[in-house]
Amino acid sequence: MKAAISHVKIKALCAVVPSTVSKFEDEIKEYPFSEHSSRKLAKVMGFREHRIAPEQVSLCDLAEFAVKQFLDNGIISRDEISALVFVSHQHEYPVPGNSKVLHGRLKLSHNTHCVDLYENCSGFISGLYTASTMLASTEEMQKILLVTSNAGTCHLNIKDRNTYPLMGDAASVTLIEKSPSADDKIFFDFYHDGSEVETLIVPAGGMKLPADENTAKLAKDNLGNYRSLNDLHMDGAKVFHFVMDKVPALINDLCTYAKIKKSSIDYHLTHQPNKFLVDKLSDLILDVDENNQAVIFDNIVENFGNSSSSTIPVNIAFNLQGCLTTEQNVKSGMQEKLVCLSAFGAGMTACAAVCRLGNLSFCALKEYPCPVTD
Amino acid sequence: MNNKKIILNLLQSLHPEINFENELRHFVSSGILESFDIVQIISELETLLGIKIPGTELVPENFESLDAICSLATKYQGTQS
Repeated sequence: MKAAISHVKIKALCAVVPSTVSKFEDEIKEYPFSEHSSRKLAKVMGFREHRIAPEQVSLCDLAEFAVKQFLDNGIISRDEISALVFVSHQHEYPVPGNSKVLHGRLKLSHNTHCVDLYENCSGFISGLYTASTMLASTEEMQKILLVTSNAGTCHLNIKDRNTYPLMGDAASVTLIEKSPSADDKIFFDFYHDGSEVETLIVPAGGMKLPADENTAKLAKDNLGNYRSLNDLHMDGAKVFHFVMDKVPALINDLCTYAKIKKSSIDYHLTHQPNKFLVDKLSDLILDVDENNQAVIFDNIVENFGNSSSSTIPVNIAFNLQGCLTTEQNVKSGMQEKLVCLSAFGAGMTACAAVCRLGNLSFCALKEYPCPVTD
Repeated sequence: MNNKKIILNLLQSLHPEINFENELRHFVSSGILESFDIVQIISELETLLGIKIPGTELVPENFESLDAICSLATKYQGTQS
């Protein structure tokens, strides 16, 4: 599904990671494999260190910290927030939704509309689309905060080398505004294949199979990892093939739809599940024949971990915070950048968005000060 | 050292319990090699042979036997990495 939303623009962005760093070298003893084999895999996959919030830090704690960066720096006032869109696959409470909890904690205006989106790794782009369509729908919507947040890596199965070393916690807030210029557009493309639901799934803990002591029992899989039905089950080969097959084609289609040359894109800002996949995907996105000069970063997993819907804003803030603000653009004389965001994940889902990015009033990666644990 | 020897050494280092040279079962279909093994094989071949193997080639049929892996490596030795 393709869409073009006009008169909308990303105006500010802040990503937040917990201050607590967990290093692969310290975790390696937990895995039921030789250290030698684990280190070899680490080089390829990007296992190095990741940010894990301690148990007492929740996804709304990270999200609140992110939004406060905007409020405290005068990027937006509470009364100006038309809507708060909160994207996550986790919840602070089963009831009410995260956006309402955050609304209360931030003491937002009663006129701020709150929306919760349950999304996995494609959540930032999905949330961007939702916020953009809301802005386009009515004059009353002028400025929307898109929040992503994921925490709880500390509860994951530390003995599962397939997933634990790759995961991380992070939150983000993005200000999307209505723009007077019709040139301020965001183009989107979404692809879903629900027949692949079991490719990436947590089997227990929902209505289909409530979590209990039986679903929590660890079982050794055929690869030697220990995993329960409460943990993420991933058919790695299928996920890999889905991404290689769908994402480059989706980006090509989107560029055609948006009437832009793919070679004019300055940055491809992809979701980052592991270094190997991003590197292979990059080779397919950047066709050698097109003399493509675009930059694709692959450094998020090795520095922060895969934080699901937050990886794209973490990618932007970590890699581009030095060149996207108005102050930086004026100083350097550089124009806004043409960027392609792409994401993929559970569902299975693939999506992409193309837009100009620059002249931001704020762009930073911040650390949430976690309490020190023993 | 020829490609076959390089690949055999690589496979043995991943799974010393398997005699890959005489193994008759399909490596992937029978569960001898799994996705992380394939990732490491690709990475090591690219480093050792100075080649670049596209992500689209990471399909089970390219890793089912020693000959299949050799064919894959040879295919990309003709291409500059």
